Amino acid sequence: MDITKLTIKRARQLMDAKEISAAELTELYFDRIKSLDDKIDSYLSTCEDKAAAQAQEAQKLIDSGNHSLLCGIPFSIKDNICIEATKTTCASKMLEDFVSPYTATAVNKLYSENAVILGKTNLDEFAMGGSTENSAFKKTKNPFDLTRVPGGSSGGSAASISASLALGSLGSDTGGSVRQPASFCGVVGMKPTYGLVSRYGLVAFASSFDQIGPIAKTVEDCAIILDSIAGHDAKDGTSLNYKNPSLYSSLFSGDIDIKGLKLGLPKEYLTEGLNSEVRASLYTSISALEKLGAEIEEFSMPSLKYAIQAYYLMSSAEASSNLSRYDGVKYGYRADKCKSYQELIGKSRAEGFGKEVKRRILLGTYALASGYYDAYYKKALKLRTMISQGFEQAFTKYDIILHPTTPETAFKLGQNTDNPLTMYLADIYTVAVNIAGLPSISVPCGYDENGLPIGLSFTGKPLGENDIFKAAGAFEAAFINNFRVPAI
Amino acid sequence: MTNSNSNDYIKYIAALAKLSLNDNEMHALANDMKDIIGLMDAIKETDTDNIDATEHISRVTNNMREDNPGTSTDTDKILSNSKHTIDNCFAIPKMIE
Repeated sequence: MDITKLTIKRARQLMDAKEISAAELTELYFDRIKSLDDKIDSYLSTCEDKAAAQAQEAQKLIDSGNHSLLCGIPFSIKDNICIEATKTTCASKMLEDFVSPYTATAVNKLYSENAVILGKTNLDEFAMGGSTENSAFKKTKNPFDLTRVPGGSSGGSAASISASLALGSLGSDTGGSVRQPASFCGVVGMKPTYGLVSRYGLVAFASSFDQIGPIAKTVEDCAIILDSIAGHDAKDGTSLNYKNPSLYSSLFSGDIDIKGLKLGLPKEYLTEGLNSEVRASLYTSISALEKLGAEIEEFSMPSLKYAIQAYYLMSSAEASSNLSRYDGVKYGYRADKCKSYQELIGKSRAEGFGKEVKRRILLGTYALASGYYDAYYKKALKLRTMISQGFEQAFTKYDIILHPTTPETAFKLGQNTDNPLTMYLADIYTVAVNIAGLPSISVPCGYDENGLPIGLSFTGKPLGENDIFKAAGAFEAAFINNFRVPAI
Repeated sequence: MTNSNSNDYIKYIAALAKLSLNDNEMHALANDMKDIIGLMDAIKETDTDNIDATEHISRVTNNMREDNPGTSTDTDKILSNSKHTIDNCFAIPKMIE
């Protein structure tokens, strides 16, 4: 069986028709991981025995005819999401030996549908970065070109889907960390409305931005996963008490009609930093959407000009506070031969954290320090208001905001590792979504002259997941004949 | 106050953040911080005087649960991630003589 074109929906049909068992499907994925992942390096750890047992359990339910859509579907999970009795390293030396004492709610929800967990995927350390090169353990490669990055921080998750080393994946998105790697790897990545998916068991980076999101081959597959993981959770104080009236995946039961849908394209995202091939692909996509009956126009949202600064100041401030828990005492790396408590903390943190994490902690501490709080942190909070209000105003006129996911396609490994500013500025189209807590989905919309994927993002109003699934689904259906799988 | 982007000031910030950096690392990170703070300074040009700060975009307030006692995580499980424990406690270097 060629699993490179398999989707969650198709695998469900095959398992239900008894053309393949859950155990056989799991085995196919492990065979592929064993033969290919030494080239891609998408997984940090795998759990073959546990997965085999989960597949056996899933098969019993399939045989009984009483099973859910994700029953027996193989998943990869970003290694900053906890699974009990399994290592959760956050790709950091700090947590190299950390074994989770509990399981994240989102993973428990997958378990409740009898999904099969294949393993944990690589990321930028503590989800800080856009290339997965900040991992303390390995560098994941882009399946479309092994000399290039997969994006990040959920680069392992996106690469695992792109290379067909899992059918679905959970990533986390603080400033674009699901959507950007999905764009670089030619797959679909979705960031839900803040609060729609529980953060319980997701290792905190910037708590008012972090959100777990699905990565899969198609928009419909992402909707199927979101149906499973969304929902109120008493263990997360920011979890929304909201239930979608119908399943997100039910939108795909027939042809999707987007006639009359109004999409706004922010002019601030069309400046000279936008690569010419990405720009050309954007306008080709706009024509395709117009043919489907959507109405698209450019508009201006001046506050977007400061989104990068606002994001990095606020998220780093939150990170500096969140990461203060790593003191070498309760868990995590502990420096040797320390004579005092202060020495223990200082050395454990200096030796346990990597360079980018230290940069963010320093920036966050700087922004919160006496004398700079008003000029940086508080001002960033005010910009958060301006950016949120800018979106609110835009949504009085448009159903969806349309934009490229990234200004460029995947760059070469090592190209930007010593240039943090270039890395930060590359987040320009994704961070505003997290600042305002909005849902957004990136879908493949083209390929550049090197054959590298280009992503298109559909951003919705709060809890507007149905709108973006519809628009992205309709676009995908028109684009699907151009969709490519990487030749590895 | 020391120049906000100087090595000495970054050293002060690193101490606040409990990062015991060696001289080479301090020097490299201080250089990075100069560039990063330079980028952040762009926000100074915009007027936000009459704008309220948004502390959090959560659409939830006071998400309370019933005050019923529940089970807690097993002590052994929690302690098992620490590199040094004594008698069911986390151990640290001696603080008081």
